[in-house]
Amino acid sequence: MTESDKHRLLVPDDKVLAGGLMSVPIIYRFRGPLDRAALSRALDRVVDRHEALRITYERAGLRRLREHVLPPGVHLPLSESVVSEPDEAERLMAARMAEMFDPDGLPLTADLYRLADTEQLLLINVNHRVTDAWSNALIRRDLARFYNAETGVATEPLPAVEWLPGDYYTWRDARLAGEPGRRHAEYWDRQAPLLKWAGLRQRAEKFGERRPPSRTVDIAFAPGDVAALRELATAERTTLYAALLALLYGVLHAATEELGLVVCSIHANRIRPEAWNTVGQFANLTYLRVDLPSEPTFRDVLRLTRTTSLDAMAHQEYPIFNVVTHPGTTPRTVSRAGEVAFNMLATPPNADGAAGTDFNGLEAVALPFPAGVSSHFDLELFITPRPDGLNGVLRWAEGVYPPELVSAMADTYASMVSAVAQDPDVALSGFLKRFR
Amino acid sequence: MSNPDAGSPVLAVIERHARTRGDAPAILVPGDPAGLSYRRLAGRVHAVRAALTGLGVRPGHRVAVVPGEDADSAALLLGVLAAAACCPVNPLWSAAETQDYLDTLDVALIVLADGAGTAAAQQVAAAKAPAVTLRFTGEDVVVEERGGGRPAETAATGPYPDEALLLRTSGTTSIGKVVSLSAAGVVAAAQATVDAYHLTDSDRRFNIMPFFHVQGLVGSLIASLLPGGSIVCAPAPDPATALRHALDSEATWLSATPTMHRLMVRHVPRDREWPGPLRFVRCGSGALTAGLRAELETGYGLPVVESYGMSEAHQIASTPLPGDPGAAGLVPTGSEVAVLERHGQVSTAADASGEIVIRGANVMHGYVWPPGLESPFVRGGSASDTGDTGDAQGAGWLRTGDLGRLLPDGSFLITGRVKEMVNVGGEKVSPFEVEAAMLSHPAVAEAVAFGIPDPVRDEQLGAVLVLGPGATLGDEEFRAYLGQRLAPVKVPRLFLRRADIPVAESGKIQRGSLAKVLAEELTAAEPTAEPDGRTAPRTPVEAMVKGLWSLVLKREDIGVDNDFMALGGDSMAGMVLLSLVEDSLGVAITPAELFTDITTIEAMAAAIGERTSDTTRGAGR
Repeated sequence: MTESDKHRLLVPDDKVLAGGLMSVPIIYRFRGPLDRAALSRALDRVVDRHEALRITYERAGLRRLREHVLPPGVHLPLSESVVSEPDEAERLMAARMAEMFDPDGLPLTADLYRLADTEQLLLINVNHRVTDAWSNALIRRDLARFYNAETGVATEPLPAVEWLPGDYYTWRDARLAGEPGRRHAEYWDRQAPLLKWAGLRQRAEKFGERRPPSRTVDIAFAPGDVAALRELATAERTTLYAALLALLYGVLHAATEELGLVVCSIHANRIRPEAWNTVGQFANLTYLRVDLPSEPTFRDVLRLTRTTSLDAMAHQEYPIFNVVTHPGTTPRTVSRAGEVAFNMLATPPNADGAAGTDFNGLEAVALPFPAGVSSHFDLELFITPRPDGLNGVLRWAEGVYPPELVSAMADTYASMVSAVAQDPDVALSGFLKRFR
Repeated sequence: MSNPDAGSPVLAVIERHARTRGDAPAILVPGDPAGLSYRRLAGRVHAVRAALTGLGVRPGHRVAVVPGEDADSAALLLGVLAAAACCPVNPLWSAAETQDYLDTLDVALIVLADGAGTAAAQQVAAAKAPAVTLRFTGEDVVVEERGGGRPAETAATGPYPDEALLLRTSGTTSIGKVVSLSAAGVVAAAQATVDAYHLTDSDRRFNIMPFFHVQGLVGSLIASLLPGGSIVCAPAPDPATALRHALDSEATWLSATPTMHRLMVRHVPRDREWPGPLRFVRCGSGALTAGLRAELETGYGLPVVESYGMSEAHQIASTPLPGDPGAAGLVPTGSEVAVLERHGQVSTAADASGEIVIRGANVMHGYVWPPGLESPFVRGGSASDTGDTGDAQGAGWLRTGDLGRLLPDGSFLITGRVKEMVNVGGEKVSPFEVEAAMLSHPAVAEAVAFGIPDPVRDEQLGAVLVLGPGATLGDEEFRAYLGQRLAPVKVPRLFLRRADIPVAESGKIQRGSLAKVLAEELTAAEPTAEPDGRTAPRTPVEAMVKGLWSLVLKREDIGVDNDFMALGGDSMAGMVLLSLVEDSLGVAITPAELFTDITTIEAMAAAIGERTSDTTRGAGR
């Protein structure tokens, strides 16, 4: 799959196979008469359809692995366990996600946890090296389609997978070798010195230490406020993405009283339609810095966010590998800038994102990213668009921040949304006292 | 210049033939088998020269001639050529245009052919120079003074002492440029045609080209006389009768423009012995497409040669006749041919490509009008392949304005015309390529592509179509057809259907001025809005950009002035769009621009045009 992607050919095993950090899970709760055999066949068809899911590794030295792609026709084992209560299922799932991936197996596992005859949990744990949030949405879409086909429901044919992951990397490498690559490098020359801690941590991270497990706290949005935010974004010729990111900057400013703020943002980076139906790891990070005026209003923050995010967007395809190895940056500086992340991913066309998917005869609910699993980021705001509005989750690394700080940030975020919906020119100074 | 004959090599040739084979026919007209023999022609040329001298004309003076299309006019032109610098005038020019031209050249005398008609007399009535009509009676010439003007002897002479022929380069609307050729250059130019087609004293040219054009005067008249052959003057060809006249007059070759050939080949006589003594047909003054060549070869049943030439040098090259060594392209006939490569280097290497440059005895002195024109010769050029160093005329290499590629067999191909390249938003489109694609459609009989000036994108591509009898072809159907053969930028945006292709007086298609000539028809044909009221793309670049927007936004109902965000474009769609634009067009547009300034298809196409044409800035923002 990655012939052109030289640095991927031989990879350190712990980076590829490490549990937790490399887990990008898909979790469903099914209620109703699940056809287990049909589900298993559907899973195999998903693996057949997507080359990235057929990657295996071969030992090529003490701690190095070489990638191979298996031909279609591979069977993905679907394990099944009976559990007595939801908590047990959660524990088992957390354990599965914390495990190392089997270097000889496929880059994904599938486990079914039977709670009762009519209630089951499905965990598809996919290795981050071959997937990203967009890819997982494709897997969900394709799995539902194949399950329906396997249970006798007439289904629309799936859109063709146009580019294999290797095609994408070949295209990307050609771009990076040309004018776009030159532009990105130039951007990073300017950007690298601007990376900094958000300033929330009580103690500096010891680089290379084991990532702590994460905890989550929900952020609720009132539908009316979301509509007002959209309107404001349109009036400022920007997007809801920028408005929600600006709110995060506002909260960080309130919490730290810093004016220079850096947030890391995750982009789907599917900037060629040929890659829209391809499972692979194409998502990328950008680092967005705003320098606020003293006594900023929200509109100030929004306008600066618009500028900085448009600027960063132009460089979203510059791989994190290049960023880390860029002159002037080190893994440490990049990690520092990645303390706070903003995650509002685009979803593939024809895939319903995080919402429930129609499995024949089942009540299916896609469950959110579970707590307990480690993350690359200390503090990460997930925004997921839903048919009825927005869903917000603040995920944080346990032990890195006092729980009260994170709660205060989540509360401040929610009240800032309402305040801004009332008055976009609201001064941020009023929110500072929440953290004093 | 004390000995007038020294500057009259054409007269010398005529005299030589008059001495050795005085009764042989030189100039004929259909229906007059005797025609003008070499002896009588020599007598007339001498008579004209004597008359001009009597009127005060001296060698070096410029004398305008308004010729008719008959044998007498041919003799008159040769007489003027033997006495002074001959300036042929097209009888169809407007009075003001003619007066401008003659005053600019400061001609000493204006000579009207008897057959030129009264319109010609009115045409020159207001000119500064005196005008006369010369009428032949037997071997004598009768001078009729038509009045006015200052004495001929007070006129100036040109900058070149051996100037013999001044030609206006053809143009439908502008005065064009005035080419100055020496007497030796004229002969060398005609000799190139003689050599290329192995013309002998038994050859007879059937001429339908006017005498004020280099083809008629040099390539036809003088080229026929050099080896002692003959020419049939067959003016104003009616395509249906032209070929009958060619057969009747026992012509051995004929030449026409591609357009004339297209018309004539449908009238090959089927009721009698065709092709008689005709041994080949020549096609000149325009690009011969492969399709037309095949049509002509089949229709005429004769070898078809394509010649490449220009007023500045007459015939430069031609495809070979059967029996001559074969060649993949045009074989140089009268000139050395090289190309001016991108970095200003003249190259004769095989596979070199660039602007075609030529040098040789047939190449003009230069332009005598308009003043201040940039030198058409390669500036400071060093012909590295010949070891020459650049002199005042860049080692004498004349830039032709045509683009070409040299082939290993010594021939070359014309790949486009610098002047006729259409600049569609920075993209240089060769009309030849577009025309070849259009002509490949069975419903299309004739097609010409040309540029239409556009305030935003420099030019748009337009086309004139002549459909075959009874054929119909819708714009959309034709666009779809062309879309499979051409890049989107090369698909014309406007099609005009006409009964004929507008041509210049020389029969040449003037792509550069068609937009002006057809301005009214083009305005009427302008599409304004799509059925739903949205503004449709107006240029190929806009059409292409709209295609990308539709792909990304998954909708077709997009006007070129609609805002990207208003159409539902978010940052994800924006990035996809911008990478598609950069990957397919090499133009980088930033997301900040897309959401701030370059928010419409119109603006994006304009930015693409701007950034494509601005090579110094590269593809960056």
